[in-house]
Amino acid sequence: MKIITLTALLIFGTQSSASAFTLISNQITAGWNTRNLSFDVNETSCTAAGVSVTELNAAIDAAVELWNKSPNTGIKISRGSVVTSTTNTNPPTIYCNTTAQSDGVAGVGSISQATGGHPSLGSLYVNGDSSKGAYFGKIGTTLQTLVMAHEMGHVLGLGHSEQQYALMYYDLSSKENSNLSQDDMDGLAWLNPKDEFSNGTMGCATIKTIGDHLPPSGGNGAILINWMLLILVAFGASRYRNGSNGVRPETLCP
Amino acid sequence: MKFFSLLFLAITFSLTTSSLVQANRAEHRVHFGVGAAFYNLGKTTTSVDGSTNTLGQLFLPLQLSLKTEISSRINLQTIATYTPLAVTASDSVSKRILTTGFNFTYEATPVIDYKAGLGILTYYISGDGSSVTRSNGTGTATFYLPGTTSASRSIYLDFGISYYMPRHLKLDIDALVLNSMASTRSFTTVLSLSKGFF
Repeated sequence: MKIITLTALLIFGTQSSASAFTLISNQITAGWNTRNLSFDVNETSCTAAGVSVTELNAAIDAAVELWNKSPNTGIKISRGSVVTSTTNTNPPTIYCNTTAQSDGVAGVGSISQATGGHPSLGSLYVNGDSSKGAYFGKIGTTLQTLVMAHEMGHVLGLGHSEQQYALMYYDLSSKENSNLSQDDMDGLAWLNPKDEFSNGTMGCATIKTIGDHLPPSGGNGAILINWMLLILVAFGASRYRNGSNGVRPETLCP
Repeated sequence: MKFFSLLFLAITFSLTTSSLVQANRAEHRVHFGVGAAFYNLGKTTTSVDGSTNTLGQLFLPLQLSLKTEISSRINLQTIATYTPLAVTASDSVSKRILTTGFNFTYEATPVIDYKAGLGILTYYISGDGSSVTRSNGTGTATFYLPGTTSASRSIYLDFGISYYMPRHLKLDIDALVLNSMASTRSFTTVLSLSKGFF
């Protein structure tokens, strides 16, 4: 037992603090009230700003893939339809903004009307002013993905993190790779927690080809596991009551 | 963190080699112990440049297991783990993990069991709802910490090995697979040392 205590103390000593994800609004108590959120795209605004639609959509797809890597969240995002909106909408809109851009601001994401604690409208824009340093058309593929994913994070309901390595840190200029931190994943998990018993067992709900044909709410997986656990506990208890001393049979027999 | 992980391994290894020939695999129904769980291996970044780390996030679970014999070499193990000491992300946000599940274990050698099973992993995130001021690129802005506890529940597959040591100790190495059939598949490794009772 001394060994266990020592080991526990050594491991407990490695616990450390870090900074946390935040929410973009104090009206939000949960994420979007849907399991599948698509981002519509205003391609015309980006073409007019000189931003390649191919690059724009590639950045959107990469950003979508990045957020969809979160293992314990119940929301999946995707690229939606082509639209002409430049305001907060549902589904949220992505567009290029050619006016009122600060030189270093690559994008802005916003939500509104958090009814019932859920965001209900949203939009994000990227810097479409070619005279600015953070113009989307010249920041490079990796940064385009990161900017798009960061602004999507705001639309999903997240604020800025203090962790410099988090996607939701306000400054992305040091990043050379597109990956989420645990803090980013935790933020999305808090907003849209996963419930595999109602969202599809073993991650099946995330296989897009299956579509929305998901197990019914309440889930066969939950019922199966609960019954098996109950049977196991009952079986163990009955054997204990019957006086088995736990010694393996072959050790009793010569 | 790597140092302490290696130290943990060194302690358990020295225990086993000191009297391996006398390895006493007395069967106990109940094991209680401590562990180190490396959650979400290789999927997240802790580097400013965004590259992924290999260990994931460290949790420190307490573990309780109940073994039920099915045949001479096959057992069923019901297991529960919980992290009473939360992983903190600032003073106002904390994370805990609870797992419950079962494994079929196969006694491959006098000191080694292979095991496979499944269970439920619940990931709790709690906050106090306070506000913080953070940089916003061109200035600062007020953001908000979560004000309630959320719980994400996932089914996991468990593959592992148990190693029986003298003094009724048992070392377990488990690989938990979440979202096993999806592109969001993630792995958690749990290293635990437990003592047998009853």
